[in-house]
Amino acid sequence: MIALFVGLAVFIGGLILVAFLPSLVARLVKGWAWLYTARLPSDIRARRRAEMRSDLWEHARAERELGYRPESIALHQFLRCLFGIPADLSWRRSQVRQSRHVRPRSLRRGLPLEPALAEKLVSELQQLDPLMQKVVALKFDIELSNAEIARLLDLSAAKVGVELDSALKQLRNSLAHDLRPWLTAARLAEPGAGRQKSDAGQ
Amino acid sequence: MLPIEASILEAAVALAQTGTAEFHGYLMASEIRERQGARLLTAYGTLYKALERLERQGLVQSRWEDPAAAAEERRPLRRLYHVTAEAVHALAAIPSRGKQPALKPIRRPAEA
Repeated sequence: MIALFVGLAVFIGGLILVAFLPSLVARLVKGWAWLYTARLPSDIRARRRAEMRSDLWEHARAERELGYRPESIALHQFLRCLFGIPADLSWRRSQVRQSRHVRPRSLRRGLPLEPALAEKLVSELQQLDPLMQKVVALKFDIELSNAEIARLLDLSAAKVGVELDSALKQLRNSLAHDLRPWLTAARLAEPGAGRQKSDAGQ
Repeated sequence: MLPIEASILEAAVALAQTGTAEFHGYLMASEIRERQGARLLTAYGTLYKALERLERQGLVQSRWEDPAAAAEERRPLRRLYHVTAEAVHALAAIPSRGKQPALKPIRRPAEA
């Protein structure tokens, strides 16, 4: 009797899941788009969300017309979303960097890069191993994700991570001396730095 | 140029040659799948990030379609892309893409 009840519940639950799966997945994908575009400038945010809405709709319509079952359509949409997550995150990072609407997280805090330091940075970049140079350029100039760089250079993602870490470590070490006074100036320029000083004096 | 970018441009040029001058995201994803004989469509993130990069490089341009057209068909508004003349030159400059599968002829009725 219990087995019959459980079986019936699973069957009904399955039917409900299949019936609502496409809309659930569509909501999930839209929710993800909403999440990774949050706090970006409104025009960029609206464009990406609208493109996602359109793509989901076109995808569902096209596959319905081709005779796909709703759960297959949902699975295809889910996989498209899942495999695109690294690119979504990397895209968001690049948008955040370019955006003035989101608080900058870099150490620069909006200070201009001094020409002498920029020259030193370029000179140090040229000292890097050619593979490191490629990885750094692809990561920070073209703003690719590690997975994309790995595919492009025919490396493993782990190797890309290692090359990137080594390059950044090498750059930090070689620039540490030159960066120190500049970073100190940047810290003093942070909003609240003066207030902290006066608070400490009280 | 990244492989996904080259795939987009090749598909877009082929679409233009068959009379579909403008394409939207899903149409491009399905076109790439058809031409490459892949099982899955290009992921959302990969596709739109690549399209944005191509637009920044001036190889594609985009616009929102007329809202009346979308309202008439009761569907969300499409972002329509088209390739620029620079894209054709950029494609011609790509050395042979040895490992890529041979391009298949397009079989598609004209669609915006």
